[in-house]
Amino acid sequence: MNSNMNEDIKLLFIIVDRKLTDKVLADLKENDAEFFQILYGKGTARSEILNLLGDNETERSIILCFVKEKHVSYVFDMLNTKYKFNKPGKGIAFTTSLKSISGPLALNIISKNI
Amino acid sequence: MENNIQYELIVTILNQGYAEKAMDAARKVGARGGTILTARGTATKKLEKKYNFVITPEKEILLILTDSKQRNDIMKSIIEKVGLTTKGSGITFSIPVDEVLGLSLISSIPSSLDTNNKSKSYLDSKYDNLYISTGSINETAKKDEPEVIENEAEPQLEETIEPSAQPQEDIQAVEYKESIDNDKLNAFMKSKK
Repeated sequence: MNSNMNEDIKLLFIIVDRKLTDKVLADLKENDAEFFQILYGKGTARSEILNLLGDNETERSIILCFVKEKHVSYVFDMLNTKYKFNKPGKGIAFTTSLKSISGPLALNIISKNI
Repeated sequence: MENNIQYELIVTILNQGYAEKAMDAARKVGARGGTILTARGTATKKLEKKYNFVITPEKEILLILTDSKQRNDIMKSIIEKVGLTTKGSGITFSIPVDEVLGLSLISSIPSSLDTNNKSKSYLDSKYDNLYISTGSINETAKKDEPEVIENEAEPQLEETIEPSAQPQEDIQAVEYKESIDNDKLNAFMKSKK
C-alpha cells in the first residue's frame, strides 16, 4: 500500500528569482502542491551582460514542495505560460521521486487528498 | 524534446568559500550554471564539549543540474579541485531527476552538434570570446589565487633549509646581494671565518 502511494508523489524543486517567490507560491497553491519550504541561494550562471557589469551572482530562491504525479504536468504548464521557464535564465523546475516517508501522518500532511 | 535526455542533480557539500571554485571546475567540463546555498554543519559536538564554546562550521551546498552523460566528468573535476583531501573538503553525490523544465537551451545545443568534441569546442570558442572581452578582470582574479598559495609554500622551505646551512649573519648578506656568484660567495664566507 504505502509503496504505491509514495510512487504517486513527487518532490518538486523550483529555482526562481527571489522577487518572484511569493507570486509563484500563490500560483502553486492553486495547483494542488503541498508543504512548501523555501531556501535562499544565489545563482552562478554566467550571462554576457552580467559579466560585463562585474556581477556573476544573482539572488535566487529554491521552493521545495510535494506534488502528485498527475499534477506535475499542470504545474509545469502553469510555470511555462505564466513565468516563461522555457526561456533561458527565467527559472528551472524539476522533480525527484520519493523513496520513503516517516509514517501515515506525514503522508497525510504531504498529500491531503490521498 | 527534453524527455530524450536524462538529467541528474549533482549536490556538493563544501566548506564556505569553495563553492565558486567548484563551480569553476565544473564549468571547465561543460556545466552551465549552478545555485549556491549556505548551510551549517553539525559534526563538531565533541570539540564543543572540549573547549566550551559553540563552533558552527559554515558550509555551502552547490546544486548543478546536468545531462547524465556529463555527470561523471563534472563530479571528477569537482573532486580533483575541492575534494575531501583539500581544504574545501567537499562531498559530491548525484540524484536522479524525473522531469525537467527550463533547460531548453542545454538540450538544443548538443542535439545540433552531436559529436562530443565538436560541441565542446563550440562552447569553448563561444566562451573564449567572452573571456577576451572581460579579460583584464578575469585574468587578475585568476592569477592572484595560485600566487598566494605559492608564497605560502615557499617561505616555509627557505626557513627550514637556510638556518641549518648558514649562520644568521650570512643570510642577511646573501639577501642584500642576490646577484652574487657562488665563487664570490664562498670567498666571502671563507674571509669571514
